[in-house]
Amino acid sequence: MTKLHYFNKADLPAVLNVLQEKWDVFAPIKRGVELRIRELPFTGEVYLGPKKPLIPLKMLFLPEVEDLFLLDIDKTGPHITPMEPIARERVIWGVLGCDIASLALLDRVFLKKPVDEAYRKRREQSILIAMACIGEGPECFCTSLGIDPLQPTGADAVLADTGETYLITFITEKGKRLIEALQPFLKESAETTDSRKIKEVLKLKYNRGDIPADQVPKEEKKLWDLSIWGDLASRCLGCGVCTVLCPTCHCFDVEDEQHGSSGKRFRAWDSCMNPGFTRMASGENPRPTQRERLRQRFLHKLTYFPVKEGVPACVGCGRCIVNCPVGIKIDQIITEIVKSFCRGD
Amino acid sequence: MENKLREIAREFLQQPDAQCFIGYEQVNEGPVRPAFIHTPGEVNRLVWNRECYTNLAAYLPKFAKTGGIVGIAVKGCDARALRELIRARQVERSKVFIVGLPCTGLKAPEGESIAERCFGCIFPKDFQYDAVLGPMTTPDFPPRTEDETLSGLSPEERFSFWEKEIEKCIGCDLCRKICYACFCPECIFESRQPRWVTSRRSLTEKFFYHSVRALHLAGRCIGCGECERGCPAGVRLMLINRQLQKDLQDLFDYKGIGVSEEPPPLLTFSKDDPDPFFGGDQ
Repeated sequence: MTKLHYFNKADLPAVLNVLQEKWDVFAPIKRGVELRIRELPFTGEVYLGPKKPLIPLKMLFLPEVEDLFLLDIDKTGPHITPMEPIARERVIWGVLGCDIASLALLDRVFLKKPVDEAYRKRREQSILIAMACIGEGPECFCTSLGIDPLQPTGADAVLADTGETYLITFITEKGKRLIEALQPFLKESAETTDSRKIKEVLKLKYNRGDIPADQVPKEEKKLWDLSIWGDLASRCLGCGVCTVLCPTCHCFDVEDEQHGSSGKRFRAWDSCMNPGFTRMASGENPRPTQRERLRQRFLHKLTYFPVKEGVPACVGCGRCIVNCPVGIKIDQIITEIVKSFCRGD
Repeated sequence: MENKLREIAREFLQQPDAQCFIGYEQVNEGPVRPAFIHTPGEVNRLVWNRECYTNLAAYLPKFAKTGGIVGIAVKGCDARALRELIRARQVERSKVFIVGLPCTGLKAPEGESIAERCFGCIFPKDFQYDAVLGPMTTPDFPPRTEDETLSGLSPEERFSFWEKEIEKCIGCDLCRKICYACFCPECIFESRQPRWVTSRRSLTEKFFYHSVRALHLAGRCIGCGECERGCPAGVRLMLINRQLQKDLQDLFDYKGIGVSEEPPPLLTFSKDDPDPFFGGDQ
């Protein structure tokens, strides 16, 4: 049983100010129609609700561009200065269950040996405050992937909007460290609560729990020759917006930059939709057409990752569905693959 | 009209050298999306309505290399793109079967009014369609009025406007891949050897990307607005593209890429060019 804490909505700016004294604080910020996770203070309105920021939470753990080390060459030889991935512990405020679930998937990639130290440090130095999500768009299907958007696993605390107040449930020891800082604003209710209490206040408005993501066959060879890949590939423009906006797409490229006798090595997000992603120095490309590239993207999420890790690499956020300019939908693809196997194609 | 379209497509696909018909379809109330129809039996998938946004001409250079004749449904803007693709020899006229869609304006994303991208649209003149669903004459689109966003701003103010705008860009490549005119087999942004542009998506790199993109499209952008529709970050790409069109009009008195048979000024030369490089007055 966890004690039930809450604070008045009007106190939100003050709450976030207090947190900034001790932590670097990140939150979804709305500026016009744009919604992005930003470091506070940032001009705009802190948004706590079911809309997803355009760029998912991965941006704070595997930044779009990240310097790895600096290199200086002088008479005494080369000097390498590694970059410090994170300066101060941070609070990430108001993120949704789908994005939080994506971190558990990224952990399976980056915390395995050899551990990605930059990712590990950022992970350890982050306190995740989830926003209980009642579902927003018709694109959402996180519940199909075993995610509870009202009480997401992996959050250190969960906020829930009850109208006048924000309920805040502190879950982990990390999360409980916020209690002291927030003391002036927190009110304790005489009631005690568990996750059911939040569910009484908030009911899921929209979410499709019937996308059979875990039923995609695990034998990749069976899936390779499905006709849907060709059909989808003729439509797919190969723009890669789906990979940029996917909370679980994590491929990067490493590049060197030289300025005179000094330089930098950095990594930046890459996309398997890009023909250069697999093109070798000889010009040979094992994924020569969009058919192979598109198939790779979906099967990586739906088959290769599940074979290695036991779970699909998708959190059902639907960002790829909303943003694909030619209407390619991962939920439809899952359903179609599973159906075609029921038919015995 | 949909029935007429399906009939035309069915007849086309019955020809022995027909490869595919590119049109639009809508599945389960989802967004209208491009459809690739290969057999006469599938033509009932085709739809034609005010949400057929995609400029299908962008798919043609890819298909042009696969042999057989490709059927394609085009709105006025798409037909302008198709004319330019034919002019640029990316598509052979004899290899396409062109069906004209008498568009009366696409639907604005919100509400029922005409999408802003359609304002001032001109249908291409003397364009040879193989079949049409109705007269392909420019309908009564609202005129395009001068965009006031940048007027009266000093260069510094403009720069800071663009800084804010370009900062939104997430570097995804969508605007390049959705564009009919981006048909280079290898774009400078993809080339690894030489590496013209780094993967560092700093503001400088993004500025560079958008400036190069604009200049490479100068005199080729037909103003369909697909880049801006697709942009997930809402970058106002059409402000750039329209400025390029305005410059063409001001400098060369040329109206609307793809509208007439006369080649766009940047794709031709004249012995009377005032620039000495082209043999004009020294």
